[in-house]
Amino acid sequence: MTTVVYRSLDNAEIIDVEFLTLQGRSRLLKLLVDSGFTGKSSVILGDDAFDLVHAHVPPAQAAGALHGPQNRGWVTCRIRELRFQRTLIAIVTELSPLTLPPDVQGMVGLSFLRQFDRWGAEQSTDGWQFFLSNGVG
Amino acid sequence: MTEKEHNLRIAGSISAEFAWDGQSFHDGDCVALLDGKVVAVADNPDEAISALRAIDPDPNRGMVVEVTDPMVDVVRQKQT
Repeated sequence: MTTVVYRSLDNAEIIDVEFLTLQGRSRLLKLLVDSGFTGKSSVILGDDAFDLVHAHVPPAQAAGALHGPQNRGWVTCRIRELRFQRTLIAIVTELSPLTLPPDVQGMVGLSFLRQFDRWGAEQSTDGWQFFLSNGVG
Repeated sequence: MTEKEHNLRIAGSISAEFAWDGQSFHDGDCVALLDGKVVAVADNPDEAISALRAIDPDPNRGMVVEVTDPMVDVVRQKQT
């Protein structure tokens, strides 16, 4: 089993996810983990991330902190330590309606987390940490 | 009607009826649309996007529809 861990913030779980452009360039983004974000879309990115979209997806309705039809696109994301790479649906929008910690550039939801065999938070000697893991362990 | 509007019209039919213009699709299919036409069907988004971009490399043109029942995205995060 391969596991990657991220140090928890006082009031949030943040992970680093690499995104690939169509040209193969990559950009590392800090994303808030929120399993209360559910639906077909896996990620929410800011409207400065349109260059990460490989193809558009028809808009879908959102409810809650974001509401109404949302622009969506296919984005390819990677976590090298887990040898994880997947093309998933992202909502690409103005992020101000969301409550994001400083320097956080979006959010991952339940459908992102369920790409992994295990995910969650645990207490370590260094404090709380969030983990993603894949493989048999 | 714009290219996007053509594609959205077809995407709506595919989502509602799992079919368009006599062609049927299965749950989970990824259908690439360009200029109001189905240009590829694949069982994963990577293959559908590759096929679409081989025809037109502009990421602002075309779209890829995942054939599935519509679902609302819910963001439960508390607003400030």
